[in-house]
This record gives sequence, C-alpha cells and structure tokens, in this order.
Amino acid sequence: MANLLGLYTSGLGLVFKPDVILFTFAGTFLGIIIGALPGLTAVMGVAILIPLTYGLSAEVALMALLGVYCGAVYGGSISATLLSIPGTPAAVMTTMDAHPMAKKGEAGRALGLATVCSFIGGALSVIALSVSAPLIANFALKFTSIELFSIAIFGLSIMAYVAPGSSVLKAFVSGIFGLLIATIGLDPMSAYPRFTFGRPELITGVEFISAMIGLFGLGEALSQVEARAVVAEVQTALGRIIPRWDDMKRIIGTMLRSTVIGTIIGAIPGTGATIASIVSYGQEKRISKHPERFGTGCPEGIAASETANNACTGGAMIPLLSLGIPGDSVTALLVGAFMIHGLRPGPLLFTERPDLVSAIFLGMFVANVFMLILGLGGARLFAMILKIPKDLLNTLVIALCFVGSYAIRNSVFDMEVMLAFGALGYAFRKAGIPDAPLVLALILGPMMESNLRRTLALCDGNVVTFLQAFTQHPIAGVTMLATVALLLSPLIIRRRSTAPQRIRAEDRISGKG
Amino acid sequence: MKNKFTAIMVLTVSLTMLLMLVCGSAQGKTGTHFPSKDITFLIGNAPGGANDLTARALIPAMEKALGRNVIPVNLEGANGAVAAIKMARDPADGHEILIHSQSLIMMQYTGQPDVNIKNYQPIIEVAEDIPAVTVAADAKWKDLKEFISYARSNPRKVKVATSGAGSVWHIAGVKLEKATGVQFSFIPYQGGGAKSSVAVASHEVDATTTSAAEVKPLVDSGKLKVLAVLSDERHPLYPNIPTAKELGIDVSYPVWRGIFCRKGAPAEAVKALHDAIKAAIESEGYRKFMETSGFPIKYRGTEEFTKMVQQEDEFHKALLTELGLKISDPR
Repeated sequence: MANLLGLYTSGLGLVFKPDVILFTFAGTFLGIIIGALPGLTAVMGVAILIPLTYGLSAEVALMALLGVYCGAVYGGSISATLLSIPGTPAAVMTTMDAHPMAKKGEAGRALGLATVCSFIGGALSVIALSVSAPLIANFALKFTSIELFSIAIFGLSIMAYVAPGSSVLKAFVSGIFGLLIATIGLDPMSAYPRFTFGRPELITGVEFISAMIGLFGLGEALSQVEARAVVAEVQTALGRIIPRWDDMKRIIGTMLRSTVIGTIIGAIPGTGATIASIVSYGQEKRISKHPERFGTGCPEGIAASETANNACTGGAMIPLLSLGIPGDSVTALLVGAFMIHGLRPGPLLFTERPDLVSAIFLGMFVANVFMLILGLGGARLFAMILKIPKDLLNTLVIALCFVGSYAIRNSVFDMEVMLAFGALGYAFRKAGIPDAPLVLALILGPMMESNLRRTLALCDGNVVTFLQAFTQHPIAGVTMLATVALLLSPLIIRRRSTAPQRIRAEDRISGKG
Repeated sequence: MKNKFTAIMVLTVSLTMLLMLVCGSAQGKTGTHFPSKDITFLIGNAPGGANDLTARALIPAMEKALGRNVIPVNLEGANGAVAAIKMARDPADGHEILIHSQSLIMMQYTGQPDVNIKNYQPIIEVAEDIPAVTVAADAKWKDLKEFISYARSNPRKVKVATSGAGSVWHIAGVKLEKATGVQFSFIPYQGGGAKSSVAVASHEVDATTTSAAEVKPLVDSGKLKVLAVLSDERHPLYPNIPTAKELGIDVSYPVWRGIFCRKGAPAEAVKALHDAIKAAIESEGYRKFMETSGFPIKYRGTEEFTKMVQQEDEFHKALLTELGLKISDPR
C-alpha cells in the first residue's frame, strides 16, 4: 500500500521545483500557441522542441514536452472557435459547434466551454492514467486490426450526421470524395503507388493537414471575401467566459462519457485525439434527444469534441508507460525524448524510476491546470482576433494558410495541395456540400482500408472466416452493431412516426435543425 | 541633377564590383579549405525517429571536429525520398549530407525512379539495426529451430508481421525464408516497427522480423520473446539470445545506417566529413545514446562502405525482382 501511494507522492519533489514548474508552464503556453496556429500541430510542437530539451534534465524536458502536448491539443479549439479553422486536426469536430456559437456573438461562451471541457477531459484522463497504467497493461493489446476497422467504420458512419444544413446525399458526395482522395499513395498491402502521377511527394498520400487548412481555412476565407458585401458584420461581442452553471449542468453527462471514450481511444495504439473527438461527437449526437441542434452551436457538441480530444492525452500515455508502446503519434515522439535522456519508457520504468513515473502523472495534471488558467485568462486576448477588420483578418488567414501548409514538412508541394483543397472547399461551399465528411473520410479512410485488408489477409481472404471473426472479437462485433443501428435508426424512426412527426424526422436526417 | 544621378550610379556599380571582387578572392582563399560554410544535415524522416535521433546524436561532436555549425533539417516525405531527391539536385560541394539506410537503395526499384544511388557518395556507416525473430512470450516454440520446423511442416500458415511489402524488415523475413526453405505469410503493418510488435503481442500474427530495439519494450513487459537475432554477432540488448548463424541457419541482415553526400563532392570534403563523423561515433555522447536506444554502433570507412552499398544495390535489385516488388528503374 505504501508502495502504491509512493507512486503518486514520490514525484512531488521532482515536480514542485521552480525550474520544473516554470518549464511546465512555458511548455503549456507554447503548446497553446502552437495548437492555435493552423498548420502547427501537437506532433510538430513536440517534434520541434525535442532537440531543444537535449540540455535539460530528464524531468524538466519531459514536463515541458507534456505541457506542449496538453496545451497544443487544447489550443486547436481557439482557432476552431474564432476562425473556423481547426488549429490542429483534433479540433475538426470542435469547429462544428464552437464557430457557430461564436458567430452568434457568444465567442466567450464557446471559448470558456472549450477550455473547461479540455481541462476536465485532460485532468480526468490523467487520473485514469495514474490509476490504470500500473494495473491494466493488457488493454491496448485487445485492439487488433478488426477492432480498428470497426472503429473506422463507426467513425465513417457518423459522416452523414456531422453536416448541418445540408442533405445526407450531399454529405455522402463529400465523404466519398474524401475516400477517393484517401486512396492516393502506397497501396497498404502491396506497397504499389496509386494515383501518384509520378510525384514523389504523393507516395505517402495527400498531406492531411494541408488539405484541412485549404478546405477550412482558405475555403472559408475565399467565401467570406465574396460574402462580405452581402452579409452584415459578424457580431464581435465576447460575452461571459467562465461557463454558466446551467451550461455545466447540461454538459456534465457529455463530458463524462467523452472522457471515457477519449481515454479509451487514446490508449489504443494507432488512433489519436482526432479519431477520439469524431467518435465522441458522433456518439453524443446519436444518444442526444435533440441531435438536430448539433452543428448549430450547441454546448454538447463542443463538450463532446474538446473533452474527448484532451482525454486522449492521458489515455495515450497508458500503453506508453505500461507497455512501452506509444498510444498516438505524439507519444511516439516522446519515446525519442525519453531515450535522449537514457530512459526507456515501459514497465521497467516503474521499478527503475518510480519517482519519474510519479512526476509524469503529477506534471501532466499541473499542465492541465495551467491550461485552464491560461485558457480562461487569455480568452479575452484571443478574442481580439474578432476585432480585427474582416478584410485584414481574411488576408491574415490566407497568409497563415500558406505558411502553415509549408511549415508541415518544408514543402512547396504541400502549399499546392492546400491551394487545390482551398478551391475545392470554395466549390463545396458554392454547391452547399459540407466539407466535414471529406475530412473525416481522409482521416478514417486509410485506417479503414489498411485494417480491413489486413484482416482479410489474416482470414486468408475468406469472407466467411472474416464474418466469423466478428463473433470472436466482441469489441469489434459490438462496434459494428452500433454502426448498423446508427445507419438504420433514421429509417426506423421514420416508419414509427406519425405524420407531423415525420416531418421532424426528415428534418433531422437532412440536418435542418 | 542628371550628372548627380550618373555619379551615384557609377559609384554604386563600382562599389558593387569591388565588393564582388573582395568576396570572390575571399572565397578563392577559403575554397581550398573544407568546410567553407555551415553543413546542412538532411534527415528524410520526422523528428524523433531512429534516423533523426542518430543524426542528432552525431552532431555535437561533428561540430567540434569541423569548427562549423551542423544544422539538422527534417525533410519528411515519401519515406525519405524527398530529402534524397533534394540532395541530388543541390551543389556537389559536400556541405549537404544525408542520413539513410538500405531503403535508399530499395526505393529506386519500388516506385521512386528519381532516386538513383549513383548520385550519392557514401561517406561512412555509423550504426546498425538488427532484425530479431520475435514471437509471443507464451508461444509454443522454445527456440528458432522449433519455430522453423513448425513453419516447414505448415507452409504459409505462420503469419509474420512486417512494416510493409518491400520494407527492410520484410526483406529480413524473406532472407530467413530462403535460408531455411520455409514459406511464411507476410502481413504488412504501416507506421513503424511498434505496430508489428503489438500485432505479435496481441496474437494477431505469430511472429515478426522487425528491429531488435523496437521489440525491446514488449520483451521487457513479458509479452514477447526473441528467438534469435539475424546478425553476425550477438546483440548488446540481448546478450543471451543466439544469432541465427550460431544455430546453423546462415542468415544475417543487419540494416545499416550511413551518411551520404552528393556524388562529385571534392575528395578532401569527403575525407573531412568522414574524419569528423568518425570522431563523433567515438564520442561519449553518441556511445551513450546508442546504448539506450539499442542500436549497435557500426563503423565502416568510406571505401568499405562504398563497396558495400554497391553490393547491396545489386543484391536488392535481384531480390526485389524475384519477389515481384520491383516496379521501377532509377533514371
């Protein structure tokens, strides 16, 4: 018992030193800025800063990097709210509701909710990490190809629901476009290049972040430039930042469920914060009594996305500390950061450096507290963006789109990708086709394809064996059943409903809430 | 007014010419001495990967030896092809170097015809990464012999995880197949060696021939066991695990990591780089880093490394053709 308690207290001395606290704070602060800038993601932030931590001691370096990690996952919500550009891919779903809320003149409420939800998700997941990492090491190994395939399919089925204000048909047009684009690059099984047109840059597929920046950032900026003459100025009022009690009461269930989903998905190797927020958003919309409100600026939507993506941070550390395998791409980089300091993340760390493991738990919690303080304290500063005249802002956004897409891997080609997707995004807006399903398909398509084909290869290409596999893998089976239920539910609702209700049901399908 | 303008123009032009002359002569003087400016160290992968960490571990001692800054530049994309293609187009003055492995050779034949190994001058080999035949800790095979004899009586039944068709770890498995006359069923996992080891630990596949360093955490967790390593000598991380050769199976496939510059760089630049990197290999910082990361340090000088790269090129070209994975020729 004393030993177990030691796991939580032995790091106190390491964490609560002025330099460690200072670097955790600096890391979190930098992380928020990195996250808020489109094109700079949590992965990049940690990657850029790893070399700078060479000269620091192990605990200072790790705390600074964990601060960047937590801060950047949260920071993405700021530009998602204010500019409708997800600062990081994980904030894609946040854009859905936070931006409409800000447009209604409640930017403060949106930022406040995003901050508090990020904090709750992050902090609870750290608690989950510190409780479960020493105990349930095997969890991450339950997710094999077939489970990952089922999760991808579940995520894709949400595609039809994430698009507010447009028809299911248009959502599918967008989604299938995304799936087609996702086939560019090496074939996952034979490693044969597909649709690369001889461009070496396309071998690894279309750079997802450039595509996202083009679609959301440039696409939105272009249509705003055009719409400016017609539409009245967007309200720039900030309003109250600290969430109201009735808002909190309304989203408490969503936050708790999203924390569970985020932590679990974070702990599955090969997934990450983006997929966590998609699944959580879809799940909340599915069980909500008012699914039509999602996508119009409802607090539950913000809570679902932001709680889940930050809950991923603690979740992703579970397999790293218990097994030595990273839960997502940021924790994969952290393996390198550990190694620079002569440490190997994994079960041996618990016996070799229990103080450091303890310091990681405590440090991540502290980073989340800093995130809350900085987020709520800085909201007014962030929201100054809205005071910038629209012409200037749009110019800045377009400049940011170019810089961001170039910065990902110092590549001019990625700027071209961004431009192409910017044009596509503009065309989509003109045709009333939603862009979110395309982004979902770009994220989930490769995951679905490679895991499906791998599962089929493992079944020797036998469809019967493949279907039987779902009965042997309960997690995959249940996820598939949930997907089928999700896809069929509109049909059932329609059949059961009486005439006036039918109109409502159809409204719901087409998302005109 | 017009006169004044002309006077200023003349003055400007003559000053510029003077400056150019001075610069030219300055360059002429230092041109014989390499390096005449900072060195760019291209890394074709994301920060934090094995190539990146190895390069960055070399840099401090290199800078000391060269008396210039060595600036790491991560140029990701196409598994390192983008960085390789950039270097082949840049000036051949030795001020740009690249870290790469076997995959630089293999990508010529697997869809990157813009990469041609003839454009690169091998300078030095700095490390090795050794494939380990790894199975689940509770697998029924006690040693490599039992594993191979099971695979022999069950052709194509043993599933082996690799990091993609035509990846180095796949080739390691193919070499094991050829040496023993068995047939595996290879299952590709994209996104690094950790995926392959997770697949074995979760019993989705039976074995993997991925990096010995990569499987280490799950071996420590008691999820995996290493049956043998595919190298000439035992692995520092696993002093008690035999090499396949010790067990009478003649297969060794060390994945090498080396430093290249553009072909045509002056001989004295290649020599200066070789000497600086050799000093870095011998530095305490590099040794310590390689120890924790589990990559054995391996030194080959310019001549030996160049010869090996040439042999490796012929070998992989033939093997990839045989496997039906060769889809392009370097141009």
